[in-house]
This record gives sequence, structure tokens and C-alpha cells, in this order.
Amino acid sequence: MDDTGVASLPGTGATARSMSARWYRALRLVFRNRLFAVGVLILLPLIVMAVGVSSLTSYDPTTINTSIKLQAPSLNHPFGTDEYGRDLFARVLHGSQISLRVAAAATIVMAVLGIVLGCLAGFYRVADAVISRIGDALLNFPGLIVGIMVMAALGQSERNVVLSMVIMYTPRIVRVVRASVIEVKTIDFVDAARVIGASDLRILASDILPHTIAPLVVQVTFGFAWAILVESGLSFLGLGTPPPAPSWGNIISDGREFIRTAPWIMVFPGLMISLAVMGLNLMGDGLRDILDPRLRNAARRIETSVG
Amino acid sequence: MWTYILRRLLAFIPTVFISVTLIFVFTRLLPGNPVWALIGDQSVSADKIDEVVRQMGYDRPIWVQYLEWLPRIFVGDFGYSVFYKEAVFDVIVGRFPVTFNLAILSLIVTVVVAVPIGIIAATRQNSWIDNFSMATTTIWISLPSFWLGFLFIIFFSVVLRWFPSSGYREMSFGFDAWFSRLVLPVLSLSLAHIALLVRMTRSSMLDVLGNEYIVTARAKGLSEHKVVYKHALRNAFVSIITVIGLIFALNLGGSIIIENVYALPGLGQLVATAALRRDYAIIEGSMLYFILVALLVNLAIDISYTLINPRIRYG
Amino acid sequence: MPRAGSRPQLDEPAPAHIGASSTDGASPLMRIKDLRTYFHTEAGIVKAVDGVSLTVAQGEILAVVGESGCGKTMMARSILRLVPHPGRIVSGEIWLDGQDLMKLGDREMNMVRGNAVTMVFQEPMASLNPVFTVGNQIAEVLVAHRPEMGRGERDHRVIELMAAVGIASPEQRIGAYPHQLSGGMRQRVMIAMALAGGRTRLLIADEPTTALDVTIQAQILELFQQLQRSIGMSVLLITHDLGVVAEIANRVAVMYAGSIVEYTDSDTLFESPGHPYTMGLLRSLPQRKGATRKAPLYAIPGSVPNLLDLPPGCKFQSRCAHAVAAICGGDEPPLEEISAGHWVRCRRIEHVRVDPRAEAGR
Repeated sequence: MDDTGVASLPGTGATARSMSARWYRALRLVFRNRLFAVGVLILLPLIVMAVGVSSLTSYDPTTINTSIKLQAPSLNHPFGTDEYGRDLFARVLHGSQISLRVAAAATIVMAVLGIVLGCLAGFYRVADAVISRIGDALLNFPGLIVGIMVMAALGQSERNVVLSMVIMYTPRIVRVVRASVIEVKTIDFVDAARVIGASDLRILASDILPHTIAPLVVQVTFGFAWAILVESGLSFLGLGTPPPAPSWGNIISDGREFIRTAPWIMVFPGLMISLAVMGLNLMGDGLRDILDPRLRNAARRIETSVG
Repeated sequence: MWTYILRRLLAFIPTVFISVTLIFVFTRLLPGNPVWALIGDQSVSADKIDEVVRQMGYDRPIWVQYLEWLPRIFVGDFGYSVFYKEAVFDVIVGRFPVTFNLAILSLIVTVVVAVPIGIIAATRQNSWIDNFSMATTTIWISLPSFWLGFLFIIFFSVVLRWFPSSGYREMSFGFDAWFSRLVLPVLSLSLAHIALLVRMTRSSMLDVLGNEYIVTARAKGLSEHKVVYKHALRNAFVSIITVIGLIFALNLGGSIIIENVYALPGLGQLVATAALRRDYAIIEGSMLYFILVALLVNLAIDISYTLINPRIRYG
Repeated sequence: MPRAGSRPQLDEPAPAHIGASSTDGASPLMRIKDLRTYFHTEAGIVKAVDGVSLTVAQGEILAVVGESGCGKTMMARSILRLVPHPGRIVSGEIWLDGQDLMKLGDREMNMVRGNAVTMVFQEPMASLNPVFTVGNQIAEVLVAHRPEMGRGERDHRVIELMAAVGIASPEQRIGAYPHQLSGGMRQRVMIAMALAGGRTRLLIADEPTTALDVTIQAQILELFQQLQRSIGMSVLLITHDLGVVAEIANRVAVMYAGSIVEYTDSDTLFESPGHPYTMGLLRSLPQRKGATRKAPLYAIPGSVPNLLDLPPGCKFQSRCAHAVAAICGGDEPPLEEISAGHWVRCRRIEHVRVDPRAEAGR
């Protein structure tokens, strides 16, 4: 054990100043990673789009004007118009709000649920038996079938889309959190805390939780990307966000009939989806590289292997 | 070895039960009375509805329904579809070949393309091949498959006119007819999976190449070719085969969307339409079918480990 | 262990000039000149091997001793050019039979590996491929370096080799997988693999006995000595265990933080060590007899320096009782021959020599 091992144990009373300094250093480290930086660069414009919708376009996404229907992209209508003469740029912009909002909501819920269930499964064997079995069973279902089932049963609404995505992806997060908890559970300082008499909850929160953050953040980032893809997939099948909401998947679905006559209807929303997912995937890859403790201590590792 | 296989088979049974029960939960316990869905929105009197409910047994306690349902499932009686006017099982069996063709072809294409690239990327780490494949794979896995499918249709079907854009023809109509209608669907389904398999092959090869016995192999003066293709690959097999099983499952799931895009009359299309029409019998039957296939593939992969790993085979 | 007369032939009969000891002036088998292996990491450059020069004579067992992290394993790997990324051999020459190994192409180097120079590793379970039988792995060497052998001849030879290294019932064991054998047998398999080519001049053994029981350890060391006597094979023995050194080494090199700090024959090392580090190592051996028996175990104060952050001058300064900043700082001291065949890297030799028990009072 080297000297620095002591200082990095959680709960050793770092001062407020050094805490914020650590955050600052952490952020700088994070952005030095090229993958992550590129991911953020790609994602940022999309977020700007979603947030600044009203300032980016003056067109209303629902205004019908059949005289200008099915027009190719032009200066006036950068993404063209659809079969009702609606400006597609405006629709895609509004779609970004919807798609990102639904995906974000699902991501937050599955993250919270994942942490809770993962900790329970990692800590208590009985809970593990139940949670893991059901989780694994859910993960065995191929593709979107579970989501389709839920949407068919509950009907189309934004809330139900979020629910089906939560049901489909949470088991993955539970797995990751559970693995971290189990990994840490066996290390001595947890037993030491028990001996002192700390309650289970206290141990979980202060000792174990910090170790789960790293893989959790990575998995949640990928989960967000997945959610965007799934929302669009479900909407495309007609089982997602209910029309006339212009979620990206819905716009693509609408544009199907005009694939030969007006292909632009489908191209742009798909492009947006791809960019959003790509940005998030890159961020996830970057985070995974950064947070991999093995890579962080590369130099130390080489030292022990030089023999 | 046989004890291992036996244990795997025994573990398989509860897994099947849990999955099948989950399906029951989804179809019977979720709010949204199946009867309403079957009848549709017609204004039918409450008495009539009650009658149908009693007829179909939905008024009995849930556990009774479950116990009656379970043995039926295992003899293949998945119920009756009002929309198709046929037994659900027969509908599914009729659709099966299309999806099977798609899934298997896609699997073959994926493996044949991705594994060599992954190996090369691992052995030439940080070369242009490696960096290029890492960059492009990230792109491929980010594209929504239905969008990609339509892009292919626009490009290859409309613009280039190389392939038809939809429909399915069995082999009996001629190889060309069959093949040309599967090229684009297989491509759309495979691209994301090729990207995934390249990454996983590369990662597992890198893992294996970091092992001590690789150093030993090199210290013996073996050629690099022997080191990679004999020593490393054999050990990476386990991970690669696991991923192949995963890809097959992804193909099954992906078929739901791809068949929709290309109007292929397979199981995926069946589920999607059934969901829109609230044809619960079909949804339930399809889910059962999908999950059983997925679980069987998992089991096959699990058992194949015994052939690969001498520790299990010879204890 | 089978006795000398009853053992099957291990190798081709040794050429006439091998078998001389290191003191009779015969030309050395291998000469390493100023070897430097550096690791370029994001955190900085780790100088794992920092200017190592040594010689292995024909038929000699040279031990390289040091703590973990001193670079001895990396030095051994550098000889066969098996340095892992991000390490690189930055400079140095390794002369074997009139050839500089550093200048050979990959294919030529492969003809040396497993043939003239072979290696056995510390952890035989990790070093043997778990999915191939031991017979297969030994035979590979024959396939690579003795292509003229037919299948039957090869199998026969494998059995011979296994018997020669002391594996009982080799015909039955040839089809075994590594996990089915004990630790000692696995190590013997590794040695059989190292000897299979039949032309082994130098065997590099990286901590060959560390992972084994003491009794097995003794047997393996005995095996090395047999090989030395019968075929005049040289052994470069990497170890951290001074007991092993005392058992079989002819000459010893002591490594610290990437450099050799003392280099002499085994007897001199134990009886009159020159470098403070060596003295510290010897002092930290538990004593069974004598005045110090009841005293607490001695440990060299301080710890191995961070290879990323080495201070200028002598690398041992911070832990040395005799260190004087003016003399020991500045440049790294050179290896000096303080008496015939005894080299020490220290500028304060006279002072240290005069007062070797200075630490007795601490």
C-alpha cells in the first residue's frame, strides 16, 4: 500500500476548498479526453437547438399550408416542407425537444431506480435472488418486444413511452451497480465500518456509493443514447409518442410514403437522431476511458511490472 | 463435462418459467382489458362484454388463469387470433421462415465481415486500420436501423435501381428473386451489428494478447502468425461466441423494425401489426416464440463453452 | 530426481570449449552493453532499465537480484526483445556468438528465441496456454526450430524431454492440460519447453521458483545445476531471494532502480559486499544464530523511489546511511572495479568499507 492510499479513502474530511479544487481538476481531466470532447461538441448544438427553438425559427410546426407542400430544402425552409406544407426545420426543432425530453426523463428514472435496485441486490442476498432473476429475464427478450407489449397494453402516451423504456433498460443499470457494490462490499473498510456500528444505509451511502458512480455514469450515458434510439424506433412503428407530436421518429414515419418524391422528410430527422446518439456514445466511450482506474494508474502499473 | 451440461439444462428450466411468467404478467395483468381491445370501440352493451369475459375466462382469479394457461403454452396452444381467423401457432409458423432467413443470413454476413476486421485491428493497434475502424464503428452503431434502411432504399433502389425495395420471394421463385430482396434488409440489419462485433472482437483479442502465455509463445520463437491465430484466437473464442449469440438475439429483435421497413412478411412485422391492432393473442404468442428461441440460443452457446474450455471438459 | 547415469539424453553433446568456468578466460557467452529500456507513459518516462551492462560466461549461473520494481524482469525481457508497449528498448547492444541481437530482424530474432536463448517465467499457470495440452506446447518448439523432425520422432522427443526434467509417467502426462498438473510439474513443463530446441545456450529464468513450494524449489534449482554440469548451459537467474542466490549462483548482479549497483561472484557478495544496498539486503535476512538473533528484523529504511521521479545522482541516496549530498548528488556514480571481478557503484566505497557495521547501533 502506498502513502496516497489513505488520502483517497472516502470520508476522510477534505476541506471545502480542496473539494472544489478536485472538481475543477476532474473536469479538466474529463475534457482532455478527445472522445468525450468530440461527443460534447456534437451534442451541444443539438441541445442548443432544443432549448433555443423559438429563437431559431419563426415557423410554427403545426401550420398547414398546402400550397407549399413537399418542397425541397431551400433558404426559406432549410429542411424543406412536408405533405401538409409544414416547415420541416421547425418540426425537427420541436422534435428535438420532445425526443430529448422523453429520453432524458426515462434516463433519470432508470438511473435512480437502477441505483436503488442495484444497491439492494448487491447488498442483500435475498433481494438479489429476486431482482437479478427478473432483470435477467427481461434482458433476454430480444429488441423492442417488451416495449411494444407495454405500449400495446397501456396505449400511446409520452408517459407510457418513458415507462416502457425504463422497464427495458433498468436491468442493465442494476447489473452495473450491483457489480460495483459486490466488488466493494468485500473490501475491509466496509467491515471496519460495520464494526463501528454504522447502519447499512450509512455504509451504502458513504462508502459504497462513491465506487459505483464511475461505471454508473458511463452506463447512464449509453442509456441516454439508447433511449433516443428506442423512442424513435417505437414512434416509427406507430407505438411511441403519439402524433401529431413531431418527435423525430414520427416525422420519419410520416415521410415514408414520400420516400421517392420527397426523401428529405426522412433524411433530416434521422440525421438528428444519429448525431445525438453519436455524441452521447462518444461521451460514454470517453468517460469509460477516463474513469477506468487501471488506465489512470498506468505508470504505477508499469512500475510493478518492470520487476 | 456432463455434469456441467446437466447443470446448465437444469438451470434452463427456471429461466424459462420466469420468462414465460413475465409474459403472462404483461398480457394479463397490465391495465387495459384485453376484451375491450378485441371488441374494439364499438358500443357494445355491458352485458355482452361480461359474457365474453366469462367465455374467455378473464373473470377467474389470476392464479387459476395462470395454471390453466401454462400447460397450454407448452403443447403449443397459443390461442386463437380473431384477426387472422387462425390458431396463433399456425400464424407464427407460417411467418417463421422469412425471419429465419433474415436472421441467419445477417448473422453469417456479420461474423464473416466483423471478426477478421476485429482481429486485424487488435494486432495492429493504433495503425490506420485500427483507428479507422474504431471511428467508423462508433458512427455505425449510432444510426437508427430504420433510417439506414430507408437511406439504402433511396440509394440502391430508387437511384441506382439495383434491388427491389420491398417484398419477399421464396427460393422456389428462383435464387435471384429471393436474394435480391434480401440484400438490403440484411445489410441494414447487419451494419450496426458488424460494428458491435468488430469492437468486441478487437477488445477480447487485446485482452487475450495481454496474457502471460502470449509472452511465452513469443519467447519460444513462434511466428507472429502462430501467436495470434493459434494461441490468441483460440482463447478469444469464448468471448466471440458469446457475442455471436448476442447478435442472433439482436437480429431477432431488429427484425421487428427491418421487416416493417422492407415489408417482409415475417414475425417482426407480425408483432408490429398485432401491437397496433391490439391483437393480444398474437402478441402473446409472438413474445413466447421470441423468448424461447432466444433462450435456446443462449443455452446452446453455454453448452458450446464445454467444447472450447478444457477446464470444463476435463475438469 | 533420476540420477545422472539413468537419465535420457537432454541435448546434443556439448561442444568442446563449453564447460569452462568463468575464471579461465574463455570468451563470454553473452555480453550486454549499456542496455536502456524506457517506458513512455502519459505521466512521464519510466527508466526501467537504465544503462545495464553485464556478461554471462559459458556454463555459468549468473543471478540478478533486486526488489520488485528494480527492473530485473524488464531487463530479462529486453534480451529477447519481448518488451511490452509502451516500453521500448532505447539503446544498448546484446552480443551473443558474435552477433548483436538488437540488430536482428524479427524473423531472425525468432530463430534465436526458444533456440539459443530461452526463457522460463514465474507463474507457470499463467504462462502456459490453458487450451492446449502440455505435449502440444512442448512440441511447438520442435515444430518451429527442428522442422526436419517427423511427427513420431517429435512425440518421442517430447516424452524424452519431460522425463529428463523429472516429470513422472510422461507418456500419460503428454495429453494433459496445464490445469491438471501441479505447480511444480507445470514449471518443469516450462523448462522442458525451454530445452526442447536442443540448442539452448542461455536459459533466462525469471523468478522460476517464487510461486513454488520450498521442496519443489530445491528440485528445480538442482535441475538447473545439472544442466549446467551436463551440457554446459548458462543460466541467467532473476530472483529476489538471496537464499536461491546462495544455493546455485556463480556470479551475482544486484540491481536497484534500473541500474546495477554491485556485480561480483557469489562468495564475495555474501562475505564482503561493497554496496550499502547489498549490505542492507544481507542484513535483512533473518538470522538463526548469533548476537542479532533476538534483535528485531532489520529492514532498509525508506522505500524504492518512484521511477518517474528519480533524484539526480546516486539512486540509493535517500535510503543510504553513508550518503553525503556533495558526493552522492550530481552525477550517477559509475560502476568501478574495486577488486578483481568485483564491481560496485558507489563513490564512498572506502568509507563504507571501513565502517560496515555503522548501522549496528540503529
